[in-house]
Amino acid sequence: MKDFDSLVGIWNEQKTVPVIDYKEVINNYKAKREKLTLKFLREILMMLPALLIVIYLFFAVEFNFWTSYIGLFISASCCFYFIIVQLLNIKNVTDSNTLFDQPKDHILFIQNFKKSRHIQHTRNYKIYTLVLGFGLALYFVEFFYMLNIWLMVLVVSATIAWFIICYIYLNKMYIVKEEKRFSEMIADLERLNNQFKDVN
Amino acid sequence: MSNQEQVFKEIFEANSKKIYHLCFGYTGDADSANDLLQETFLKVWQNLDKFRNQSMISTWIYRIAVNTCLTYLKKEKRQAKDELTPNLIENTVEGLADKEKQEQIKTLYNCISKLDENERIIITLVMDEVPYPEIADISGISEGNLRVKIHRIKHKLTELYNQHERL
Repeated sequence: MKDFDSLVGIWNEQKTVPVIDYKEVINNYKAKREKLTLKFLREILMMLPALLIVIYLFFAVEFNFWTSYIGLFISASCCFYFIIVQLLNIKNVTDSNTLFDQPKDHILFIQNFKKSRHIQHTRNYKIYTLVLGFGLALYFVEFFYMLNIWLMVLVVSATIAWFIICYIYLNKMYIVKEEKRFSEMIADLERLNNQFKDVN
Repeated sequence: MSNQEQVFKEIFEANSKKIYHLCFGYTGDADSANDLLQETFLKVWQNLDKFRNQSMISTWIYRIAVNTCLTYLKKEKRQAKDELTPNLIENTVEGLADKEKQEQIKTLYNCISKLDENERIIITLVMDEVPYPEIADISGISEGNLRVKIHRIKHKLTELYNQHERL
């Protein structure tokens, strides 16, 4: 039988040492910062070409219908929204210094951040898809009068099919997966937060 | 070496071992403990200017480490292992000749891994002789409550250890 002091004696016998030194930390910090900058760039580069094409069409092509302009404007706004949201997310994470706060406040920040990400990934993504679909539908109105009917049917059918696959199948699957992951994560954070609550 | 690097080196050398103990006690494996230690000191390096005027620098570093540990578990979906990996014993007690002592340290880490997350953190700090007011400051738990908690955790850990030894 051992008492707690004996356990402390055992603890003090250990010779655990970290395998990293301070120089490694400094070098890794620089590497991490570069990685983050690349992440910023990747997020922008993914959507930027689409945004530029839409802006080009808006200004370079002379459309006969106002619906084309409205459609392009809505599509450009969607691309712009996507870029801004991605950048704000990265900025929020890098700027947050709740690591200095007490554990319960830090956990609360993580909980709120996860919740806002969850809303973005589920509700906002639905709205984003619907608005983008509406924008494209408006843009296609003019094509009905300009293009060969069969070509138009093909373009519209392909677009609708793509939206159905994205919205009904992929998005639904993604949301179900997200919901499961989210509820598990929130339950874990809640449990941790309760552990650090001061009971008076 | 720049002045900033010199300051960081001193902070690292004064605190890294204890922070490593905390991370090891929390995760139960050496690789994760090293990752957590690195993440903690990355933040310290990033905020070095803010640290310079702090009297209790270790409290801040501990707090970053605790928050990093808590978030790391969620981020990586890692759970503390019930049974420690065989290489733990080599990592834990590197250089110790005495086999019995090696076994005891392995058992102790095993028992710590069975505690709740906050209990793991608090007991590691207690065993590394961090003063109670500092532990209260790090964890955000009032000193009165902390003393009650520590008493319970000590009892729980001792029970676990003795049960383990009887097996």
